[in-house]
Amino acid sequence: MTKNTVKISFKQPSGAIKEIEAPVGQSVMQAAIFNNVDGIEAECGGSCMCATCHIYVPAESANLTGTASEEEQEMLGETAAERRPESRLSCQIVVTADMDGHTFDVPECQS
Amino acid sequence: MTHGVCIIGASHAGVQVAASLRDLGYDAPIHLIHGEATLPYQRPPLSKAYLADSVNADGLALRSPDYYASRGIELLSATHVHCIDADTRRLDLRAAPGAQAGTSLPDSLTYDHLVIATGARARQLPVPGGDLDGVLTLRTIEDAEQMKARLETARDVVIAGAGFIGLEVAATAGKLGKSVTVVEAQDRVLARLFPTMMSDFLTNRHKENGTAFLFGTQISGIRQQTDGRKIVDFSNGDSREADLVVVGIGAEVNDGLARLIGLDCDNGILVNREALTSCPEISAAGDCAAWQLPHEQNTSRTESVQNAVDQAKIIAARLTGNDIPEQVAPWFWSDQLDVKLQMVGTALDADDIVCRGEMESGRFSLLYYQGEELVRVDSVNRAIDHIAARRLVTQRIKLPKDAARDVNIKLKDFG
Ligand SMILES: Cc1cc2nc3c(=O)[nH]c(=O)nc-3n(C[C@H](O)[C@H](O)[C@H](O)COP(=O)(O)OP(=O)(O)OC[C@H]3O[C@@H](n4cnc5c(N)ncnc54)[C@H](O)[C@@H]3O)c2cc1C
Ligand code: FES
Repeated sequence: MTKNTVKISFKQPSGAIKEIEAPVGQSVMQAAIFNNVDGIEAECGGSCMCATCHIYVPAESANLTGTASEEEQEMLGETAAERRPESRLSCQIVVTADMDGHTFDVPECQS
Repeated sequence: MTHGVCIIGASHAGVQVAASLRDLGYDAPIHLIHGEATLPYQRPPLSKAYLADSVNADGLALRSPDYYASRGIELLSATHVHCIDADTRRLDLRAAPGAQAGTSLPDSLTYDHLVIATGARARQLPVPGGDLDGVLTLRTIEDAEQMKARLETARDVVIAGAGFIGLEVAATAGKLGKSVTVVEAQDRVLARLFPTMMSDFLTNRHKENGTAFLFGTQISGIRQQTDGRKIVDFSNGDSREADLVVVGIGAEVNDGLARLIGLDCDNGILVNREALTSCPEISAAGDCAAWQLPHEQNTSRTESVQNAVDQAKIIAARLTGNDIPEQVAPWFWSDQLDVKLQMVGTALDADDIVCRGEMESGRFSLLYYQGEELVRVDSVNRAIDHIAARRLVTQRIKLPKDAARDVNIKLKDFG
């Protein structure tokens, strides 16, 4: 197993924060599912087909997560929780080395 | 003393039962018995991203390695349940292939409640030469490893069966530049599942990718040649050379353990609406379980992640005294070439099919009607329709056909 990981955190609507080890190169969704982060469902397994891996990326981290493709933009219109400018699908974001220490927000609901 | 829950099979269904039990506060022991030697993993990518090499084995895992221990779930890997004694509620265990020598394994386990999540296995090709080296089915990570290795050097690939797995493998092998032939006994792809217009759409996409199709014929035998290549004979008298033969002719249910103890079975272990078998201490979920879907007369088995996960959640809710989640219309997805296909609903006997969007554009949905009721929706690269359709089909919403046809009207605005 390649052990190249960073620590990222997920903040629940309740304010609870869970820090996990995320392998660089995997998607943020996969890292969350592996570690049973509450509130990330990812029903389609990362195919950008379900919009149940919705997260909010705070402005200070936005430069690390790239921009949403046209396909992702369209799916973001279908999220169960409110769509905000910070909305992203976590399966479309790749974990990078410079994400260490960053926190993502989990929305109220996914479906 | 409480023995807690034993779960046989640690795939989509078994792992979800364990995870949901803990999420719902269940605090007795949970033993999750995994017949394979790897960390529990997802199967859908085996014929898609994993075969195409865009996901590695770590990326397949259903949960992280330390997840199980951290939630107090006793994961017994490479462990096979040999038989069940329903009277004493005991499981007889054996080491499965891949078990590490020296690891101590209990001989038996006692349960208060048992969950059977043994899934299904790939059907083998029942012809002479069907067991030759290089004739492969695809169900496990081991199968996928072997297939990947063979694909590296293979030039000609013959695929038996134009079902989802066969077509997904054809797409990947074609993209790798292999010469691919798909052999199908029916006269078109996925004939039992789709109307001709959808079969033709998919066939054309695969043909553009270079895949050849032989319809209305089957493999009648496979002969090994001295150079390691094979000659594949067809029932129509033709034959073809191949380095690799992929067998995608469906799955057979693993209901042997259940039959031995007399649980009611009919192409699957029969369960009620709460995923309980004919024995009150035994539940079943996933590919091995058969139940009655809403709006249907007969019991059936569904081979999908959604079905496995939903039945697992139902069991966990029942065992913890929570409300049982509603049954939803079954949904499924498949990824082939540039086609992201999503289906919801199972009806085959629609009396009208409305097309939303242009089929030629590769972005459309087919909406199946029985009278005025929407009973099924297949979406191709229109995930937004699919998401709305899940609710509409589950609730059998009356969606006016002219609205269905109009892509400017959003499906989510109905119901
Ligand atoms: C290549 C491929 C692609 C697929 N693609 C999709 C897709 O795109 N979308 C989708 O929804 N579904 C897809 N599926 C179907 C999906 O993977 C199955 O529906 C799902 O895996 C069912 O999960 P399960 O837990 O019921 O059983 P399984 O996944 O079959 O697992 C059962 C487990 O039980 C173990 N077991 C059996 N007997 C014993 C015993 N006696 N003791 C111990 N262990 C035992 C087995 O070894 C196995 O690990 C695909 C399947 C395959 C093979
Ligand atoms: S996991 Fe389905 S869209 Fe991200």
